[in-house]
Amino acid sequence: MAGLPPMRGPWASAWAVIASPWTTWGLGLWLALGAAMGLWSETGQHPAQGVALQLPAALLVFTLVASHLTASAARLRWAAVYAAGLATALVGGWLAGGEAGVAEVGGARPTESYSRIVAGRKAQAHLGAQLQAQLTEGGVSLTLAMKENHLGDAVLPLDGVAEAQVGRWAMHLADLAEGDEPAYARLKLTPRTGGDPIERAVRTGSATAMDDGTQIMVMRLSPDFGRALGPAAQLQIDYEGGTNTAWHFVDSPDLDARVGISPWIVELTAVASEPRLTVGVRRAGPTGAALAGFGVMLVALLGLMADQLRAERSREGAV
Amino acid sequence: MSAAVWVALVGALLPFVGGLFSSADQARTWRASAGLAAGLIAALVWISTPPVGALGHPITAEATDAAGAPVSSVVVLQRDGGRRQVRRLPLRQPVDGAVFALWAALGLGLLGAGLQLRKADVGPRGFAPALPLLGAGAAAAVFAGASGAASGEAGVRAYLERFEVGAVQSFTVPDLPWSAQPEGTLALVVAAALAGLALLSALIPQALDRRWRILLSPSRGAIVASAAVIWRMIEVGGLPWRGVEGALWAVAALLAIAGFERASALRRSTLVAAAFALAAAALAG
Repeated sequence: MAGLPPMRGPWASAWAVIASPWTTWGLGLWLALGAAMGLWSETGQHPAQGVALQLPAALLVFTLVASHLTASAARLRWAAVYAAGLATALVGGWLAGGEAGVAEVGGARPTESYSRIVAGRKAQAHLGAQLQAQLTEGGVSLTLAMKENHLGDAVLPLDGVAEAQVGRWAMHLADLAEGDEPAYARLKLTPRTGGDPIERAVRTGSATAMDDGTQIMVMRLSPDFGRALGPAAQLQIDYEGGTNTAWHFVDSPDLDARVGISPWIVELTAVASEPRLTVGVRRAGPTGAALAGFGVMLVALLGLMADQLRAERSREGAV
Repeated sequence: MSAAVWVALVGALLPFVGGLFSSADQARTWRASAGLAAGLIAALVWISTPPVGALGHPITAEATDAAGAPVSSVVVLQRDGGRRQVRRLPLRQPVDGAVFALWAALGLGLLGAGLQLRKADVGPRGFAPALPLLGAGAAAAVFAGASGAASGEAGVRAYLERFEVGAVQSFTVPDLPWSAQPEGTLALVVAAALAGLALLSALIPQALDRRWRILLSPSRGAIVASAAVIWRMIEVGGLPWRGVEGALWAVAALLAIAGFERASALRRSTLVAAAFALAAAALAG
């Protein structure tokens, strides 16, 4: 304990624990265990990052220096620089954002909240606006807006881990999966007077217009009508001369050809679901301090290496 | 998987290379830690495969198509009383004997580590370091052997035959062929490779030049792993506390702590073993 006043009683015992290399070793294993437990977290964030990662790291700042007070001046210097870098990175990590979680966004349906861990439990946190995600050829297009207030938008690539800032949030695509709820009907439309069929995909609540002015609207969808008749769509066909509302079934493709009266023979080929997008969300913040912290840690490690190589060279010279 | 995780894994491997090919006493400690790392990787793979169950609980692998999308089949079942049920069934490949293999890998890894830490040799030379290789190698073989590829109607039929689903009226067939690779296969291959390196160092003991050993020390590994963290930050465009980023960060910190450790080869090598196991587990994360 060079440079420190002598300690007695419980202070000496406490210092012995802090300065023991076994304490630093134990904190390292705590950090490893904590990081391992976070690898497969459901919410896309470490479920206990404070206790599992940040607390042992913060304690390491002190124990690393304390355990090197009796080491050589060079080793103590680089241990102190590394500890300073670690402390800076921890503060930088806090500044760089937090409140991480995941938002489930399904096609046309916007969401206003996302799941995150609060006090060890999964809770819904408000995004402050409606988040809408749309799968496009270029990636996932995100829009955050509340009525006429447009807060931000971004396009996330389908492959990769990159985040994009949307409003005050940093978002990334965490998962893309097939949705559970039926979202649109695939229709094969053939003129009743004869001709080539046309294929259309129409969402629930929207309509498709044909050249002759006929409008076909998808009113409702069912993945298994009455739990007996399979996938079905309730269609409203508006044509010159009348309106026809009826259920169409995937398992009965010739039904409309036999009993329909509209100018178009409608065949329901599939009831499909929208992809379900899981978007990782966290509060965005500046990352400069965190990067600077990691930079200082790198400098400390490089300095340690330079000292070791210098010592090795002088040892060889002496031999 | 991000290339940054591979870089961190290389960072954690460097000190093992330096330690395994050093003086006889130190190499023995490092071989023990290699066995520990192989066992830890098996344990982490077991923890990572939901649901974590009892010994007999099967591990299953999700089937994905060439684009990496999960594959499922919509199955129509005929129930009692003429009732029909329509179910979307994600296609999953059970990995027979996987949990037994992982437990064996964990047990043999720890046993091998324990025997290495004894002063006297048990059995012929290379016996103790061969145990972790046997465990991790067998687990990797079980996982790799389960990666079944299938396609078309026959593939779905073969899958459905595994269950007592009753009368199947009809099912849909995925458009593309699919295959199922259990998560953790790569991590187990990495564990087996490390255990193999440890066995090699026991069979062909070779002390590296001192300068090489300095270049292959834990703090050099920490430099590589810290570079991986910075790379990942730039790749992501920020510093989130997601699982993989947290693991990368912890790997770099563990290697640095090991690098600053002065007195004990055991403390140094166990920290590197934990870092290596964490980096390997991040491959499956």
